[in-house]
Amino acid sequence: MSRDLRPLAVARYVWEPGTLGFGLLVLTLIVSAIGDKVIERAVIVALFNTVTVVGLYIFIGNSGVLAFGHLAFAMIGGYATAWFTMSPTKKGFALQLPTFLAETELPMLPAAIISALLAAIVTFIVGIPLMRLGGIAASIGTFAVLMIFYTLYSNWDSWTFGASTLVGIPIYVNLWVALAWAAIALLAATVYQKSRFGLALRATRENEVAAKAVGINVPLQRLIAFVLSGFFVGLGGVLQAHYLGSIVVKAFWLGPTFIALAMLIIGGQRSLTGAVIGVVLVSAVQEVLRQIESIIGLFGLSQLVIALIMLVILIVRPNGIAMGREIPFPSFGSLRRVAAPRGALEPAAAEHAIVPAGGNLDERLEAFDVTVRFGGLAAVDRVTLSVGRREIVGLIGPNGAGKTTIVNVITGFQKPTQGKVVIGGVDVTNLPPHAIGRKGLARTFQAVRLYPDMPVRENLEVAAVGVGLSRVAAGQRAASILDWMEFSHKADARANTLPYGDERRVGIGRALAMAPRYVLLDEPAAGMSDAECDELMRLISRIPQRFGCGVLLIEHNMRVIMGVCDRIHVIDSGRTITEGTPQQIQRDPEVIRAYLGSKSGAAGARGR
Amino acid sequence: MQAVVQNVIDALSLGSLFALTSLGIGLIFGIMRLINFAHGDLIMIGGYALIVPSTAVAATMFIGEWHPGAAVAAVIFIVVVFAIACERLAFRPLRRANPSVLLITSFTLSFFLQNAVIMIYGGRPKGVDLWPLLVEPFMLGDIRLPRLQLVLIGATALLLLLLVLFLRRTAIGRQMRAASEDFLMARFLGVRANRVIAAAFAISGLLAAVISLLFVVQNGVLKFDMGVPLVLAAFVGTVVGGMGSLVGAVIGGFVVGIASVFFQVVLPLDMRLNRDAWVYGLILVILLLRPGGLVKVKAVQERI
Repeated sequence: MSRDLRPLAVARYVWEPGTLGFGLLVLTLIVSAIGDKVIERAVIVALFNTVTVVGLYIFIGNSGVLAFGHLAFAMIGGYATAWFTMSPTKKGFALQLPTFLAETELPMLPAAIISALLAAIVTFIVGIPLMRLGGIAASIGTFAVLMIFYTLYSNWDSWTFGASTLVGIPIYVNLWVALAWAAIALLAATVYQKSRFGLALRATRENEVAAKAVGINVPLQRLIAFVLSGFFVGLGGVLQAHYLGSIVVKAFWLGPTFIALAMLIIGGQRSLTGAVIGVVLVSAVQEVLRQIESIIGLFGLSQLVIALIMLVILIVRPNGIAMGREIPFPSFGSLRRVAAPRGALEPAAAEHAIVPAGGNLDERLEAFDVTVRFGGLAAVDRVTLSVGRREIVGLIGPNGAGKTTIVNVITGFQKPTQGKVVIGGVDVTNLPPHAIGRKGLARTFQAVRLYPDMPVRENLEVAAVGVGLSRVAAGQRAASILDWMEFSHKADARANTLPYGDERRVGIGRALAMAPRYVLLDEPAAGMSDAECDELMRLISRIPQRFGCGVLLIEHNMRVIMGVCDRIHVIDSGRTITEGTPQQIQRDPEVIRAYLGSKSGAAGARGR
Repeated sequence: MQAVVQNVIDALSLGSLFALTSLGIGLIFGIMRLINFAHGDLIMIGGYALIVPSTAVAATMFIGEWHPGAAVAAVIFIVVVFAIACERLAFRPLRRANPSVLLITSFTLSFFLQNAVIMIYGGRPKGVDLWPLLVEPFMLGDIRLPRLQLVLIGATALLLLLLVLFLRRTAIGRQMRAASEDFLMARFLGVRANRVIAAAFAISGLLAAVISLLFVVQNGVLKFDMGVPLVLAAFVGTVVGGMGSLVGAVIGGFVVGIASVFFQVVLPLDMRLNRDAWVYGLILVILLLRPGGLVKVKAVQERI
């Protein structure tokens, strides 16, 4: 990147927190100019709620997993800062803390950070079991977390004053303090979101299976975001305590949890912009309704209306007001190029990124005696096959022969009943899919499984990040592979806008972006026209030489199979029928029988 | 002896309560992947149905004063109507949405219903004295037995039996089972989605109504959030049992109930208030060991 463009790249990087923070700054300036106490109060609350909701967004927005337990972390942060900052006399009045805490009086800033860190540590501990659960079960597990801490803090009289309100917390949060923390939260969320971790986590949100396949450890990525979000939600609790001067466990139960989630979801949980819009909007509506409530004496109205708005949003616009988009970066001519993610660079730099995969080119991917039984039925029965790094091996067989099951076994998505899978002499049979991906095995899916809401370039970047590259290197590799595939012109197209044939090509590109030693292509030609098939054949046949990567090709289209394969492995009803060169296979009577299904042949193959 | 019997009965009756609630949630989850947080509020509505139309600060009963048979029928009717209305108004427009959206929708609906009740009846608890005879214990030899808890256990056993018969013997029950195996395929084969889902909501409403009656008799109090502890326990129960399995939901509900009574008995006095923290902590540990829950279900796993 040339030197004079660097400031623009920085501007692009901080665009979202910059614009959103600026918006909040303007709001703050207006309010402080007006000087109305009621409005000022509402805005301060909205600003520290921004910290909490951005914290929620870091986890929920990027992972797509709903969480209901975060206010427990706010509670932990809030009480911790009370312990650290209240004067010993005031503490002595309500609490019986151990001596070291009872006599401590920390300055506000260290207390805030330590308290938020404490919340993050607790988040980490409860996150270990929770993040191993599947999405919806994890969401429910977060309810359990909320209940655990709510119960503990309600009854922990000596530390929390029980369910009563603990007063005497120093008050220092004003408009500017709240604004500063909101800006920090926005910046942190941006840094995370643009890091390789944020990218990997969004890939798990877009398609969890495909994320595992490119080497992403889903529980680990979720845990990272969970802890970071615990920190900021904890900080939100700290700020609330130092604004109100008091704290009570009830303020962290389901009602407030609902309001915090409503802010995120009404605004749109899939973008930072949405999170901020949601906070501002819901706060405003709440404030107006509260005034009406106290005038007409109808309590519960404001909550009722928020719930109603939320129901309507969920039904008509499930991605919220912002619909998952950020404020667009201005695009005037040449600046547009800078606006693209880092790493889309000159070809010279890109050469580094596309080295053939490492390791010995003579090693093999081997599956020995693989058997998979579903109940009593053997979907795959003692199949042995192997692929070298310089060859293309075809795997063919009639529908239901067990081809995809074999691919699933090799890539770790299906544990075999018997048999093992070895990559370059290393047994990987019992590794999870993401670990196998990191051993140099890539795959595509029959159902393609792109990350629909991401541009093509990012689809490839995810794969490079998944096997451990930095964001910059991943960007370079993605660019060079797209270039090699002659697909660079569509690098910025969103994956869910692509035509079918292109989707499949991007799927292959994504697999190659892992710099794999072997790639398993599951019916890449399905639904392609003849012309597209020709192009595909040209692409596939160049893979081993270019990437040092063996190909296992599953395909029904015989023209493709016969055109590119060095060897072909034929299975039927889960068993190997034969193996050989395309010429041998075409002449083999067993194969002809399996495919054409002459009566005697079918009986012979299945009847045993 | 008295203590042992009492503890066993406590465990079984609390387990029954949670299991019935889990079942109402599990039934709907199996078919449409909706975890219905508002199920707890159906239970709450069943309680408030007893005092309609009075909104006075001190509750006066109307339906609650009727002959018990008529009262039970009326409460079931009201709750079932509410359950079906929730489906029609809130969940049907979202039928294609993913489970997360459905979950947050039900959470929102719950919040809506609770605040509606606060607006009508206020947020303070209301004492009600329903069927006081049921609360009185009776003696069997030397052992004092709590009548209500035995009724609760019996009612649960009966409802489970009826539900099994319903799911196995009736056409609509079989369709519901088919739908929870593979809803799309079931629809291809002629199962009508709207009917099956409405039936599931009706049954879950019926279960909620029964729970609310027993719960009100036991506690003698109406409160806008009285369903929340039940629904939270049942949620956790369905996850522990294995999401998507009805058997798992029942087992999970009992696990939570039994664990609660267990900790109630073994924890030292000053820690007893923290019982729920222990119960849910234990459950996190169980999930750490068995992330898929106790009963694994194939239909929930994604095909690759």
